[in-house]
Amino acid sequence: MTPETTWQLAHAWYSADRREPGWRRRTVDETEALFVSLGLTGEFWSLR
Amino acid sequence: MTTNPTKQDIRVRAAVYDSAISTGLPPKVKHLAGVLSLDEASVRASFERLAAARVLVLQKDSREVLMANPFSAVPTSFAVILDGMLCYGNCIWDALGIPAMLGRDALIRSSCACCGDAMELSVSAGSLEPVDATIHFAVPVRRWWQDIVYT
Repeated sequence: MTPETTWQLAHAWYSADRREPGWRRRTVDETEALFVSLGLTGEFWSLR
Repeated sequence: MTTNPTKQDIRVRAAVYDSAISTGLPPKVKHLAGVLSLDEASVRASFERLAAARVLVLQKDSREVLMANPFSAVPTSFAVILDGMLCYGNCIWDALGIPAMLGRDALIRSSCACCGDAMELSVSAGSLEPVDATIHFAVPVRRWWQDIVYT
């Protein structure tokens, strides 16, 4: 993976404020959608 | 993974991140108990529930926080320097996650997993400065939580 893609992944993953009462972990569907949006596809990036 | 957090767990989670964001390190049970006016057993119980929900990772024996992602409670190979504050990411993704979470510039100091050469990444004004490198993930995603420390 390129450093830029890793940065985009980190930014998307950690931009939500985990101190907020309503914060929750992403669902499997949400996580896979994020991976796909960054071009991270295939068996390696599958959660199922 | 789907357990709903209790009100206390939400307070503990917020306090963990408050401390990590302000000091660079996830806090210890004793500190949190004082901050939240809870007994240590209650804090430990929240830690266990948050760990079961994969919000925190705990140290095997002490059951103190090991990871409040992206922060590590122990030194790792992924040092993150922000305005003179030193903290550690659990991996390169998390090391980049620290400036992403804080919205601050950062210098990440690590080393190449192949040859050991020094490797630096710089985040400035919300962007990663171009660097010639390849980021390697060794474990397929579905297996990350089988051993998250190794991952």
